[in-house]
Amino acid sequence: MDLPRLHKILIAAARDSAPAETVPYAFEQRMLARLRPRWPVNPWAVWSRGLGRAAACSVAAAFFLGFSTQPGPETGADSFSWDLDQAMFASVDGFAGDTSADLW
Amino acid sequence: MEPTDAELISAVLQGDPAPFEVLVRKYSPRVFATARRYARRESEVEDIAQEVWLKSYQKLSSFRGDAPFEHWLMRLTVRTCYDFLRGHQRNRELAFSEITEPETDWLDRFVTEPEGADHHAAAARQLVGRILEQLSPAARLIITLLEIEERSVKEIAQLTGWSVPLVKVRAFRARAEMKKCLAKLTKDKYL
Repeated sequence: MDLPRLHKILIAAARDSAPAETVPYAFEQRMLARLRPRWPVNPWAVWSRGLGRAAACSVAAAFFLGFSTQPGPETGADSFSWDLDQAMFASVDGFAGDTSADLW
Repeated sequence: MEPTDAELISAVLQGDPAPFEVLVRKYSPRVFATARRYARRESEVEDIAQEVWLKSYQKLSSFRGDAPFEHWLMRLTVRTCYDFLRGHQRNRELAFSEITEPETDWLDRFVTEPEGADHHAAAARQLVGRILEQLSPAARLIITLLEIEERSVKEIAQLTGWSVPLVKVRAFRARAEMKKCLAKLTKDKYL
């Protein structure tokens, strides 16, 4: 058998079939997901992210407290302040006992 | 205007990893095509490609920018493929009795009429793939780069990191190994 010719033909066959350049679906995403744990951590980015979250929580709490302490439409500002006084001084009133009742 | 490779690499080195995705999208087709020369299964091809990109990310600081990024990446790809071949070389021992019927028919036609043998035939492509799988990792790499991809010895030296004399020695041995492989095939089939 003509081995050099066989070699030549087989190499020509391999040259003819160039491999495909297709990339599997979502390969880039999978690759980046593998790389993400190796990415450098930027301390400023971490700090600003934490600051942003804290600010959002603070704004939400401020809104909640603001709305919850608003007087209702049926109660006037006077009764609201009186209720607030009662709530704030409830413990002091308790200690004062009967004398506070006499005073009021 | 699209940023250049140098700009993307510089951004990645400064701590912003997002531009690396652009490089992955741009050069993955070439990495996959190279990996498919050495691995048959798609899962293995993807493993090689992932390994190439992981290494390139880790070693990006060693890219000096003297040559295009693509050349640097191709060197990394070829070396990763060589490592893959070395890691899987124990699976090489395949009997030629396992060749398929179309491959046997093609060989029979070649024996009866060598001048009329068609190298466009799918059977010839399968047969050469099977023979390449029988070669040692270094021989397969050299035959692929030198004879199939028709690269120069100097180019192969740059891609593999071997010296020019070493490439020449390995090319000589690779051709001898392939000849021996073909002789074994024909001996098993026709003697």
